[in-house]
Amino acid sequence: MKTVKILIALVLAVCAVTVIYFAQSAKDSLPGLLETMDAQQLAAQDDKMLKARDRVTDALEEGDREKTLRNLTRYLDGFSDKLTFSDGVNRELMLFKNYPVLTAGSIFLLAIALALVVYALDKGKKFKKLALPLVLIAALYCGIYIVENITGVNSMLMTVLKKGAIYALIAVSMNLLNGFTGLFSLGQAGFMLIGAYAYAILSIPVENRAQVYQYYAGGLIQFSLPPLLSIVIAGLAAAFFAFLIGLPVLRLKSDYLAIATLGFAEIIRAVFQYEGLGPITNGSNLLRRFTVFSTALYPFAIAGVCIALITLLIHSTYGRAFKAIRDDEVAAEAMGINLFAHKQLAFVISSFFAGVGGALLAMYQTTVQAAAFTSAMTYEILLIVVIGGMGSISGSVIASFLFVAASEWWLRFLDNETMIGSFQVPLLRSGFRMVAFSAVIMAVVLFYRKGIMGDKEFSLARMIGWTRHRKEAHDER
Amino acid sequence: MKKLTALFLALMLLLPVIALGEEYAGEIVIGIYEPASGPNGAGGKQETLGIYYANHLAPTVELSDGVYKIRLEEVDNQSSNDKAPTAARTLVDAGASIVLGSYGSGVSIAAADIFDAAGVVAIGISCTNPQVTIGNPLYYRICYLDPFQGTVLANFAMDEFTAKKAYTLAQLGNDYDVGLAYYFTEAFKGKGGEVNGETFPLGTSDFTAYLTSAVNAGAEVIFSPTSTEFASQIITQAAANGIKIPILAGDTWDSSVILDAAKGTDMSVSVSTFFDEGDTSSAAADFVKGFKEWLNANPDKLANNGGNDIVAAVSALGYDGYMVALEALKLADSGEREDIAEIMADVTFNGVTGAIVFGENGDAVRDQAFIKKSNNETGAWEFVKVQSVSE
Amino acid sequence: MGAEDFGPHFSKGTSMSDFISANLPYLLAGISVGGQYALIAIGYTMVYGILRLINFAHGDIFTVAAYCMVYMNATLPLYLSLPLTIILTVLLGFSVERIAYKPLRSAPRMSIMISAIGVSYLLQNLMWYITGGLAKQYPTLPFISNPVSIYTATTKMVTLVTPVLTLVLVVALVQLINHTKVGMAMRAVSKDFETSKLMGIKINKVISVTFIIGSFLAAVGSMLYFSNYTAVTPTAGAMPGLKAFVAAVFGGIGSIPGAVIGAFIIGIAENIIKALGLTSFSDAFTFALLIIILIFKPTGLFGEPQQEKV
Repeated sequence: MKTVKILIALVLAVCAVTVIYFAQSAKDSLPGLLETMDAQQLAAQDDKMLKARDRVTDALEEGDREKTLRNLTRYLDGFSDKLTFSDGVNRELMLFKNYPVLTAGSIFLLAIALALVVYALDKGKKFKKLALPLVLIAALYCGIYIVENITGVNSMLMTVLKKGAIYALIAVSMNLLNGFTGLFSLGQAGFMLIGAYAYAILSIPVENRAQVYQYYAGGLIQFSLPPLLSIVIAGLAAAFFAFLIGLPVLRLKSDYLAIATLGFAEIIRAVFQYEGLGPITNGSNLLRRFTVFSTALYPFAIAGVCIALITLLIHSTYGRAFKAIRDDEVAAEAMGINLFAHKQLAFVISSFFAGVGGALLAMYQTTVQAAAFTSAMTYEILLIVVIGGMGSISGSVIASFLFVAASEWWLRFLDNETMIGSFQVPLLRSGFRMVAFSAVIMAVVLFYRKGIMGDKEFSLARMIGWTRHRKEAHDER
Repeated sequence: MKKLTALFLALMLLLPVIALGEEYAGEIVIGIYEPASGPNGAGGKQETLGIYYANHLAPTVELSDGVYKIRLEEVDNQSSNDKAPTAARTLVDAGASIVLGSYGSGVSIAAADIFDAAGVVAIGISCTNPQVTIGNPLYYRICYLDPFQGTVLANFAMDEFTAKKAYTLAQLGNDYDVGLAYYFTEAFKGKGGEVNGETFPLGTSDFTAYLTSAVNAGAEVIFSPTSTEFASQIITQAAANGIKIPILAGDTWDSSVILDAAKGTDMSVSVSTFFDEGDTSSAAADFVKGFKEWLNANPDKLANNGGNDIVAAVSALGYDGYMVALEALKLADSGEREDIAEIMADVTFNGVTGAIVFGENGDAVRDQAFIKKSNNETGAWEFVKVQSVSE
Repeated sequence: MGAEDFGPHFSKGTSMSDFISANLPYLLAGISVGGQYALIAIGYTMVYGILRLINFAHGDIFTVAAYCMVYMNATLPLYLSLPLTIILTVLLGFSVERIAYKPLRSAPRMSIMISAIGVSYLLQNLMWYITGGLAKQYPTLPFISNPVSIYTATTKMVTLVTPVLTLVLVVALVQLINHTKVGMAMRAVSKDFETSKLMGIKINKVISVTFIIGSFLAAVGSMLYFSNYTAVTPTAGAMPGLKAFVAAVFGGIGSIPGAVIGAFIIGIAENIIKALGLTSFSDAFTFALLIIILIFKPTGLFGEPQQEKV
């Protein structure tokens, strides 16, 4: 039995590698294909056709795949009667259009093969704890990659997914404080602001600085750092500020802490808008033209790693200490937990990840302005945490995607005046979306206080167990 | 009964198809990227009205392969830079061939990357900050720019009020305000004047402290290029506190909101703008007459214009913006984004706000601005002069 | 715009009278806005004293009052719109408590606060929807909108009316709390929630009365505030609300005279900051003040020390 499984895995792996090989070889095939299709050199005589073809090659040289495919389709549709298509050409075209999807699919197959090998060698714990999650994560990332290549990088779906991933990281970082350590902090927007600004300031390419800092003669900083390094520094900057703020503020209790952190966020916003700091922060004006990500995998990868780190932290001894503080401060202190040190630790770590989230948000928005990081932003994130469930990481993640998708996409139809026949649907006009949305949130807060996940985590093992349990119960009946 | 209902519903679904008819070769979408809410909502609505009026006059465009119907797709960018990306994205997804807007420079800058990535040409209607078009090859603009407007107003302040000391008041983080104040300051100082400047955060409602600072600084003219929401506060509070320093502002203040605020007070309010309602050239006169009739025929539209039929300059610009878009469609002879992008720089149009020719960076070449002053008895604008830079 | 443009604007004058005439408007604006903050702050401090809840929606109730006035004044005469505005605002405050806070009475404190944030979010979005997001002009009220000159400064009557009216209302309120049965019940509940329940005090009634008084004062405050600063937007009340809360903490939460004095101090200090030319910090300053007071004297100026029970 074992050998069969390993054999199947081997076959899968071989298939996958073959497909990857072909897919990658199709990557650069387009210029040659264009030549082959236009065997009679008709384009040279037809201005319109030549122009359409040049658009394809121009977009290809720019490296803009979405544009290339769009122009290619127009070229093929518009001049199909003048082009020659052989079976070989058609196959190559298909390969060129789909090679990213094929590659992603093959990687997924490889992951399955790996899981199969692990399963064959050890059915029990390792499979559940290691192989299965690995396959799922690989599936998730492959899925994102495939969807991105089908719908285009900037489609609404991808836009929402990107923002959802970023908000997920920020919500989890807030949950670490509010849900796991029981510190009611409302300063998240301030730390995001620090992260976003630190990232933007450090990563604007030198040649763009004169234009961005137009009122400040190109600004003070005349170097730029690579994006990943900038993101880490953004997180560290937020963590450093959190450390300083935490020294006085963390001695306060519950709602006093909330209002003090809220106040700090406002102060940070004012400082970053101060004209005197203009050569560094560009005053209150937009920061833009910094390096941004071009694929949704980037925010997903960074948010994924960060959330994994937070999860590890929560399952460590520190995490247990945090929960003890949340459940009963006095008892926790009596057990020998250093209250202040642990609170400070949670606060600094949470702010680090909020800063990283802020940097990602800056990349997502492509512009940054301090004025946007208001307390309303913190409230939004707090509501996400509540909807997902205080003290549930998976809850926060799920709620982030739901929140972003609902507020920016699914409910948008509520903003449009709609006619069904000649009947005008009442209430629907600009602004109704947010009313409906906030009413739903109120309902969750009042009647569904535990949120989506309560303080539990999403767990495959439990889900499998649950369905099995249901089935057994059903069978008994 | 059920069958009847089903039949009825089916007919309802068919209705739009029938209504469209077969006389059109197809449909071309023009996106309207304007604020309908937030601090710039009032101005955005007036600009949108101009676009709709133009669409009312010219609902179709004739290309070589037939007549196309124009469908306007509107999205509210809420005057907010962080809401701009998804709003812009909505227009791109709706299949807009070309986009008009926005009122307010910040939202335009924030959306430029989205339009650029999708290959959509955007025509800025009244966003005057230079950064909108610099480095954004697909962003064009039909109005004049802040360096020009700031200089014009600085010249006017010196000529008309013989002012040597000025005070500027701008909203923190608003690219339009801060930019215009910057260029005004540069020009005013360049001519030997002295300038004190302050900024206020969004949500400010108490301007008395700022106005007092202006008095204490000995300012002879206040320059406050803010959005209309703050404008009326500034005027009423200045009047209530007996501050009689003349107030100067840019194109945003060319709005009936300002006239209402200044009416009955003894404040002197002057603005520079793109268009003068009293312009007697035939194109402009026709536009004013037609637009007023169109507004008065519909109470909703009248309400969006601020409850009266005073023609705002941005409505005239909105009208021109739509017409420029139609010219672009005709010149490209296509509704395809790439085709439009290719020919956009060559589009010219003789609009109600003057001739529009795109020059450097895709900015329209403009060399004069209209200066108007509020008449506080009649509550209307009075034409003062045409001011250009070289004086 | 370089930093050199932002010098201090006050004390430009050489003589004493110059100094006063240059700086009197700042002081007047400070006193007037301070009085308006005070009226909002009382609502915060009373609710906090009893429920230990920062009622984040209070600032929005203040804004709703302004919108009520705007819409009703368009159709109704003043003698109807004025009382109706107050009644509607009070009703709103009452129902917010009943719908959003009462069901959570036994829940953790964080839940009620989140509910308050939710209500604030809902009210703001609702106002946005109804008004279309555009600023509305507040109606001119007779008498208090009239101009008046004091020494060398001109201002609106409301600047003078506000501190007087604030003081009258506060004295009346203190009388109510100290000398009536319901006032005694309020004091009892804020001292010890559980015990007063056992003593037969109808907690829900007392809490409702608190919210009614708070909303009433917010409605009056809104009339004064918006007569001065006439543009009403859905978020117009958020910042005054937060500042009023800071004032309440500053004065010692639970203490009504404390809230009033705190509000006046914050109103005046904020205008001095503006006079110094540090305008971008006028809001931040309020919060800095809050944090300093929280760290060095958490009970505020007049607050009673509270023992956290295990």
